[in-house]
Amino acid sequence: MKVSYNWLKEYVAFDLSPQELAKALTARGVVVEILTHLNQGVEGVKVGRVVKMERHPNADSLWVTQTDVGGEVLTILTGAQNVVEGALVPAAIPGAKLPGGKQMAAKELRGILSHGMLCSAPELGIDGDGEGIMLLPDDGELAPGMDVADVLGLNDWVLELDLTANYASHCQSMVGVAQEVAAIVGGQVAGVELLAEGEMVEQSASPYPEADESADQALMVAEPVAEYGVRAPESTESVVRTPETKAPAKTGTNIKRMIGLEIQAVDLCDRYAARIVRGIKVGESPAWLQARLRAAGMRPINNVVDISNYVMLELGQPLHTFDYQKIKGQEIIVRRAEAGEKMVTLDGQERTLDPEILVIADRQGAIAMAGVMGAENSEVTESTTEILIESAHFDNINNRRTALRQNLPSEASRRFTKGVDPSGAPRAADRAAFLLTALCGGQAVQGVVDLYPRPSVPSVILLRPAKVNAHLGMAIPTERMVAHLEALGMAVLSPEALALDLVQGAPEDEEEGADLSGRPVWTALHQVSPVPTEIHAYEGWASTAWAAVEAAGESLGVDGEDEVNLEETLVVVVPTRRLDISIEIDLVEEIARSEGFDAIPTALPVLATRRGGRSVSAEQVLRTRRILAASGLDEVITHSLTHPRIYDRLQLAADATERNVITLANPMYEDRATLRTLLLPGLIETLRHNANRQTKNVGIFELSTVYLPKGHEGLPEERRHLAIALMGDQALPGWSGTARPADFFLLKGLLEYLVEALDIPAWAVKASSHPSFHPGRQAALYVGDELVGHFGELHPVVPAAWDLDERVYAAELDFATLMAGARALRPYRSIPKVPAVTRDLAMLVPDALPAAQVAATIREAAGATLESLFLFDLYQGEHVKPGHRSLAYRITYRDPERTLTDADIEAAHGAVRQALGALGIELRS
Amino acid sequence: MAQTGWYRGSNASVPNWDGSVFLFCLVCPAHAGVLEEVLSKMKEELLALRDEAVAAIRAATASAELEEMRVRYLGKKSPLSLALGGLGRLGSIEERKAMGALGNEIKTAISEALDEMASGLSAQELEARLAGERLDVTLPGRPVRRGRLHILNETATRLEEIFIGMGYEVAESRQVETDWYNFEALNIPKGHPARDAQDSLFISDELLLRTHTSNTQIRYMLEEAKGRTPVKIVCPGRVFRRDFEDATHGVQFHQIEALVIDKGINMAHLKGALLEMARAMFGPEAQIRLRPSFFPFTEPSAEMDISCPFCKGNGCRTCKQSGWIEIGGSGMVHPNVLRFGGYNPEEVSGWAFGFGIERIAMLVYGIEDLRHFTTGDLRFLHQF
Repeated sequence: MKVSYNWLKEYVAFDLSPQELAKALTARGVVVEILTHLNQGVEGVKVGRVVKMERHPNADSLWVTQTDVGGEVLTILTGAQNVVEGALVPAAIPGAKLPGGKQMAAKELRGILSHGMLCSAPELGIDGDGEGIMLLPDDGELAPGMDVADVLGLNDWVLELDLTANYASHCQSMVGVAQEVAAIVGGQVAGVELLAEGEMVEQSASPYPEADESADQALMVAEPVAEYGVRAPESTESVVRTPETKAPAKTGTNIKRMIGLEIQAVDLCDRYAARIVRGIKVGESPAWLQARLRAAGMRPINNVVDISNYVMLELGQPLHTFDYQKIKGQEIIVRRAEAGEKMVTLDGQERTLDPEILVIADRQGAIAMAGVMGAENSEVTESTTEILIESAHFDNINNRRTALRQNLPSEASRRFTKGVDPSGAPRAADRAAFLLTALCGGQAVQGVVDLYPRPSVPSVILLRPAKVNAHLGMAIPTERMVAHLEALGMAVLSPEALALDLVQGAPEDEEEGADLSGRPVWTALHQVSPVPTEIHAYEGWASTAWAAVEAAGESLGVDGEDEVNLEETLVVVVPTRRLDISIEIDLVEEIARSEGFDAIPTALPVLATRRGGRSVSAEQVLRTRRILAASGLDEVITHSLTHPRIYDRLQLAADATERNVITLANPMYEDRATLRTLLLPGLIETLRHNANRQTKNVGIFELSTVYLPKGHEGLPEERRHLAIALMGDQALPGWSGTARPADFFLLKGLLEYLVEALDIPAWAVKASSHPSFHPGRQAALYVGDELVGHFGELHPVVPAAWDLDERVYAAELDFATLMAGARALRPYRSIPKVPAVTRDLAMLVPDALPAAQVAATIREAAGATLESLFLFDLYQGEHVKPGHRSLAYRITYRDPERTLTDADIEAAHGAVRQALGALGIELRS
Repeated sequence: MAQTGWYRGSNASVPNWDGSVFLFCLVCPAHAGVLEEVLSKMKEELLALRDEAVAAIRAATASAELEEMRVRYLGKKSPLSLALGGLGRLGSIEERKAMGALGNEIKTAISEALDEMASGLSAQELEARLAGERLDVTLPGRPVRRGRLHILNETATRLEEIFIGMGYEVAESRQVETDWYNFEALNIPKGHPARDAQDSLFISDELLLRTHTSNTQIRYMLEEAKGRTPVKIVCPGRVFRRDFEDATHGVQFHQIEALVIDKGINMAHLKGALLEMARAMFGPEAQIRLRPSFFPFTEPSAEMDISCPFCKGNGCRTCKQSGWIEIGGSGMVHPNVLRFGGYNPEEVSGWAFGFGIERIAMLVYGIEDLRHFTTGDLRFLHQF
């Protein structure tokens, strides 16, 4: 929403600079995102009338004009071809300034002195087509010599609002913003001039009499027919509904004789109001109106379109105009489209409709996509003379969906989406009718059609001032709360007033001249928002409204009988335009933002507290990450969303469970369309990213979530995985350094370090054959009998699939399975008091015999006195039999209770030698 | 290093001067005069030995030589020890005492000479060794590899710690969530404009990737707290939006939010907790400010600003001269949300706030591009 500062002043008097206004609105939550001055440097440019023009004698493309700039006629040359004699144009005469600091001076062009230039829209810093000179509307309001910056409304500021969802509905109109300004300055919102029902305008006198008056003053209204935003119930001057206006006029041409109306899809359209204006002459809008549209970011089109846009900006109600004569059968039907029904929209596209789309139809077919776009078959054209103004209220969800599906975003649709006040529909039609009669020479047909099957009524909310203060931690006096709410156009009453209404029972509105006196709440309901004037619409409204009053009475316990502490509660009647307010807390917010959030104090509560901290699993995650970082690995964060091609790259079998992925229905990117089931691909991608940037020595890990389709209660399962990837030298480079190239045993050592640090005693490594890994350099890690994951050197085709020409060592483990083996408490053993005895044992072991078996054999044979076993040397090559490895173990014997004797050692060690010999191992020492 | 071999000269049959050579002669009256002569000679020889030893010691050039001399002159088999050891068989007690005293005197003199020389020599030698061991201390040290925890996770941990210090529990929950927990229970019914702004990534009509960590509020209320008070939680986690990826937007990012529910909780308490957090994160000078805003799950709702940590609120490029930086949203928990969580809004109230962890990390460190967090570029990771 773009708000013109000058235009705003028409609805509310205030004495704030644009900057102060922007700050004050923002502090209230009506965020002014951008504040701009419209005039980009236009100064001294005059309205000129081209009184004579002829071709330049020395240049075919140039025209020599005699232009009256008010008081004098100047010779001004132009190269534009759209100027005609008699046209009103912006003339930048010598001394005038244009955007960019350009100052005009008389200048000779091919032998003729030009006193300045005629300007195009872009030359004045205005959005518009740059083809030719900007032609100003010649409707009698503009005269040569007037300042163009004034005429075009450039001496104005525009406040661009960034509206939150709750304020979007009531602040997407000039009068809505004016209400907020009124609340800031303590003022009142002025009404707008309407053409009330029953009023027949024969010929409107121009409300813009003197051309020398500024546009801003042109629309000042003497006596509004209906007041917008009645402040308090006491002001009774402008009760909207009176019995006289309720009955349709019985004489003259009435709209009801001209058009029939039926709402079939009541669920998608809760109100439809229309007026007809005849004798229209479609043409250009006056300059002031064009200027206001431009300030609001809309382009002027013609007076009919401009007026409907103008009313939308002013009151927030989107309008649509039909050429009345094109409505077949003089009937309007609001219905769902039939499947396959066709319509050519105003953009010239033929669209195939379906029952999800709400259309406005006549007897023959659809004439508009409701609230989205009109159809060509009912379009207002230059020859149109009779116009039907549609002012309706459509379902916001359906409207948004249609606009999205048809890719037809519009100002109207955006407003319906954010919420439009249904109460304002007839008023907007009246306002448009007024402007059409005033500006397009039309005559309004008497009466309004208004079907209102689901009436919106003001909310009646009970507000406890004590609750407000308790919620905000403040001590705002009740009177100030009342003042804040009334400033926003609400009525605040006492519970006694509510009781007074309730005791009298439901008002009998069929009666002519029903008396509202003695019914304060009922009166307030009539005052805060416009009430339907059409009899049937009113009846529906009244019964809904009375139900709201009764409901409020019920929650308060006021039924005329019980005594309640009435001083503790206020009865607040809220205008229907405040779609965001329906319960007490909504009023708390209104009071809080009226007070200003800075007024809220700062405090810390005293709570019966509980122990803070992390869950056991969160603690485990943090600990594991710290352990891994301490080992020298860097932590990375990769994307949860990936592309399923990663599983092909990992060489997984076609039926691998990892390929069961969760796929997004509406992904943003193809590469982010499925949730990962493995972390490893992200790590390989990270290695590649670094390798491509000359960083080939990388050791990384990630401990994060993977997503498996089938989980608990129909929800996917989210599991934590731990993945590690090593590439290149794992030692830091240095002048003294020793390389530590990544290899299988470095990776295995890391895992051993990890399970030791996490205190997982029952782990085991077994041979495995996972397709992602090198067939001879991989293993599986088990905790207890559970498979935790695989590790090893990646199969060379895997990194190659990522265009990575490096050996990669990697592991991917299931974190919960791993941690299931972690001990809660490490057992402690006292430090031995007796010495240990160590023996080294070197042996030749056949390659086929795993070292783990050798170690197990030693442990078993040595018995209880073996304290530790440590492989301290492995040698293969020269001096070692082919097909064999030389292994050297250091065995430490100790009995914690006593010093072992030579005989003890010999017995144990002898058994070890013997057992190894039995395996066919040749001992070397 | 000459051996003072007087015994070698006088009697070749006496290899060691232990006095045994005199064994017979000394008791023989015919040799009575000899004893005196021997003693006198012995005294003379011992003094000569002392002089010789001291001279040799003083001439030594290395500690190792001194050790040899200590053995030669003072060792068990040294002439001095042998001579003194044989005294028991000589002459009268007086004579023996006199000889013994002389022997000890000589021993002390040699010993002192040795010690004196040793300390001098070892100091010299140490000096020489140290001189030889001089390093170019300007060479770089041997590198110790330090693995880095990701700065984003570290920022989250730091925020968690701040709240743990104030007695908050860390609560986590699902990333793949039902429409109900992500929207409905947070007072965002179907068709609500707020759903538009969130631009969610859906899996099915009912299942989506959570768009905020606020689902944790509902899950904690229903699954953990179950109506008990107080509730004091801080909820970090990964969230997803249907967004174009650029320097400030990502499909995936991280949020942290806090929730407090108890009797009598008000908006001043929200401000208090925010101020504590801001000061712990940005320093004791930090200020906070709330501005009215809208979120479906809170009312009143507020944007939270902190005083710009770079210019201390004076205005700079980072805060666009405003002195304030917006960090997230907050507000009093909407009564509908309390009801969905199983609490009666007439009895308890609460506040919540939340913000993007990336945003905080970018703010604290001046990181210019959100994508650095997920590329795993070591040039980025190693800066922290």
